[in-house]
Amino acid sequence: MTSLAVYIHIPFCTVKCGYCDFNAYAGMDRLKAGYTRALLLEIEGWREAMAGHDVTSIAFGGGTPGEMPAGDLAAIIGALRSAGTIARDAEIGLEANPGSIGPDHLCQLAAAGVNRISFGAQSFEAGELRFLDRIHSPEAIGVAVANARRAGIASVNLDLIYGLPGQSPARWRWTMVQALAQQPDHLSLYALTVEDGTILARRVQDGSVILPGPDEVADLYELASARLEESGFHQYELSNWARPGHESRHNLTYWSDGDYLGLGAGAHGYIRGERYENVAHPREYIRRLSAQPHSHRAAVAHAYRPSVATAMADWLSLGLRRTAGVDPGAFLARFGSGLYGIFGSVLGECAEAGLVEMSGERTRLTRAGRLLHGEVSVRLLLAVEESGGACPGSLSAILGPQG
Amino acid sequence: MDQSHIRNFCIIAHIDHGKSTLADRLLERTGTVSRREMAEQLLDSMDLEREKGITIKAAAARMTYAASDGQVYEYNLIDTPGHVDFAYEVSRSLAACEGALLVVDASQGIEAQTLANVYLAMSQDLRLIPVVNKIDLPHAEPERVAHELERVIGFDRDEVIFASAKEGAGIDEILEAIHVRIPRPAGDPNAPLKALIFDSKYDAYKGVVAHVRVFEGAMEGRRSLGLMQTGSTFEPLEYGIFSPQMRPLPALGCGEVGYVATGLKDVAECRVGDTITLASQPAAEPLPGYRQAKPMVFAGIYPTDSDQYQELREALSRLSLNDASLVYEPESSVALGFGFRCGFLGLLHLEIVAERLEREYGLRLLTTAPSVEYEVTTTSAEEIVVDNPAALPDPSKIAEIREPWARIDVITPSRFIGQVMELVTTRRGQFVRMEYLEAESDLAPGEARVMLEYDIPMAEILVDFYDQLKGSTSGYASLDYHVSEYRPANLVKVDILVNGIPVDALSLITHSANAHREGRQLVAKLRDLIPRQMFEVPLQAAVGGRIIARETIRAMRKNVLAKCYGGDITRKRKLLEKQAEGKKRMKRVGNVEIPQEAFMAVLRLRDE
Repeated sequence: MTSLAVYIHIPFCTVKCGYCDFNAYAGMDRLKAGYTRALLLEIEGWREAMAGHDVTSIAFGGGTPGEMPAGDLAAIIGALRSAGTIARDAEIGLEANPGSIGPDHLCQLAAAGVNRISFGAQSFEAGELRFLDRIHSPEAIGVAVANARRAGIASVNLDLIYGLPGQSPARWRWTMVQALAQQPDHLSLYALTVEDGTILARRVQDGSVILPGPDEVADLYELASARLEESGFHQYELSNWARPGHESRHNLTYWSDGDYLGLGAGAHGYIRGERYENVAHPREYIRRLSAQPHSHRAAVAHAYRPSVATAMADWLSLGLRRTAGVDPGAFLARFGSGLYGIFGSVLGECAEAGLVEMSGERTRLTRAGRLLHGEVSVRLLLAVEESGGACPGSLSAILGPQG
Repeated sequence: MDQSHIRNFCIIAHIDHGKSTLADRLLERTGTVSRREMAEQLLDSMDLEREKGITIKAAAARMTYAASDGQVYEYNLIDTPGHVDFAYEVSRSLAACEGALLVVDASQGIEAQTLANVYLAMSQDLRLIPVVNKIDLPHAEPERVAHELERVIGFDRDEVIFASAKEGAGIDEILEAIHVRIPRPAGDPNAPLKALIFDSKYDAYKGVVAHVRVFEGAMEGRRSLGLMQTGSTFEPLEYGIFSPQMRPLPALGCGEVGYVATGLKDVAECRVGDTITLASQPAAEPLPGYRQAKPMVFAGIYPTDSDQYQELREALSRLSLNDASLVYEPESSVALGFGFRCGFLGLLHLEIVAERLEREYGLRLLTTAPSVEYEVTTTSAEEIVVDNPAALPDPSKIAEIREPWARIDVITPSRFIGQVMELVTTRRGQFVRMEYLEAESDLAPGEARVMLEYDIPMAEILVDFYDQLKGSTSGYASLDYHVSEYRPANLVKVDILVNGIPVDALSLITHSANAHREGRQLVAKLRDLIPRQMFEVPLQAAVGGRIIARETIRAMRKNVLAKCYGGDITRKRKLLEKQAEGKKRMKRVGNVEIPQEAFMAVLRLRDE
């Protein structure tokens, strides 16, 4: 049985935040019932393809899945259980807004099997939350965490955003202290990113918002990193820290080149070497599935099979997001050629600059390299492009040791 | 056509004063080209010419004009390049004519470069027909401009034709004036052939096509022809005229303008200014004025990706087929690898060539900062020419360095005299003389136009002088220059070290008094232009091994993408690919990535 992760996209939000460029829509709540029906049809379409897979994680992302009726989410989880094999210890996670999910709702979700919840806390400063267009108060975060605990949800994550305009190290420390006081099991820290086409991008452009420079943001990252380690958290990915045993298995699938289904509007999937993307708009998604109810490709807008070169660069770049790094042996097994044949000189250069360490079993980013993952990835991409995807050593891999 | 019915003329005008529109109107009114063809023809012209609003290559057109005296005339219009960089080409075009239309914008008046061309035309005994164009414009002051023409050039008031090429006004008057005022071509049709090449271009089928004016004899038949300066000979493949497309004819008679397809493979064998004659019966003397195109500005052109070196060589060789004034030779730089040192007529020429190489040949190039050509006498009394700062000998081996100086003419309303003086003197310029082109008493204070003449080192006007001149005179000043002489100067080379490695392509030659300041400014500029690298990068400026300035580019600290949301790997990869594209545009020197702008930083020192 190969393992499989399932991502389900819920594209509805009460308010669309100014920094957000995810596939999410405000004011379309009336589509929710039809959307759930479409998701059930899409799952049905995948039934055959799911056979022989062990579903190790289910993740509801959005949008704001926490604002979907619990019954709808339960029906979706139920449909997945009937369509395929769900591992007994499967991680079933959900993103929620701390201000808009009540205790009863959380209990119903727990009853449906949800065992991990990720709250979009973002900040414990009211002013910062307003800047981010978040609809919750700092106090609501504590209430939501306590309710999740009471509902029996085993793993609680808080998402935080840093690098906000005027955010001093002291204020960021305050948010960290408050977050840790909630005793979460997992923390995801994301630097505020200006995405093209967002309201934030426009405000940065016209000068009404001034963001901190990369060095200041780097300071905030390092500050948080140190704080979290003191508090018993283990960093396992560039932006993710967990107490032992609470690493997100779902996200690890992305970084470890594992297969995952993407269900719902705008969802991305990666299965048997093919990457696909569903149509983005929920209305179009619903229309496609009602027109072709039993096809797992009904909603696919775009699909492609990455070239070997691209697959190599992806594998390495994603793997290096993990603090555990990558295993050169796994690269050889996956691609039939040696990691260092193609990437050796670039990795060597990065190692010389102190960004990468290559020690026997693993190749990983150093502490200093974590903030420069993009720089390292770009170099890897260029290296594989230059090699033309030609894989030194691949011939011997095909011919075997006798060749 | 017998010589008495031929008129050869060109149009002298400043950029934007309406030369092309007037030429189009003449072609239309004589029925040479229809309105529809005009539009198509425009589409065919070189993109760059249209974008920059200038004529790069000369062109010619033959028109047939039925005049009011009942006679039919053959008019040959020879277009001239409109930029000061191409002054020699202009002079050859003028040499092919007996007359010229001098077109001046009714709202702008005479500009420096126009005046320079007027003097050039006068020195070649051309008959000038003054045309005040754009009289339809709301700000037009035709009377004032006519007065200026009278005062400055000495025309009679009633010679001046008022026109609006845009609206078709005055066109008939111009067409009449051409055959009445411009003399017929002289020349003996029975003498041995003498034809002047005023332009040439390469055609894949016909070889080099020379644009010619026949001064003596005639071109006909298959008899071998020879070039008097380069000594090449060829069998003519075809004669013809431009109307304005190439149209074959059996012969070109004495006084006529047209083309000859030479079959030659190299435009350098068929240079502008050379004289074509019969190989078997050559003329005694070539036509005067031949000059080898002399590049003024030199720069290194390197592929950013060294794999493109062969493609660059191929592209340069093909481009130079059409452009004899482009010279190049292989060069290697410690920092940049293999490339070419190229010589250009001027900065515009450099820009055009670099852009064409990138656009038409799909190359990614790096151009080093342009330089003039220095003459150096070494301590062992050897004379060398240095067109690349990196190649300047060690100071201990230099007895004397000489740099080229230019004589410049600036025309500006008198209220800007102070600003122009200041600009020129901060650039080591020396005042020569000043002349009022208009009587001050006739005009509001500060409005009278004045011509200022200076001597100034070429290196000082190479780069942004013209922009600065425009900027400090609210756009009113116009400029003309020509290289006058070489003068000794106290020059030193400033070397730049990036991460401890001297980067030859960043060196600059400067006056020793400015070396410290410019060295400091340059490393400060480079600190801003070179992106932060994975490690700290020291930048140093040195003169003769002594460090005079230092800056540090701190190591980059953050370049990381946020989460790959919902498993959208494709998007994340696209962001990385975009960064990768940026990296490809940079040149790696040692292990530091340097962007193109850094190599141009030396040009922007004056912004400080």
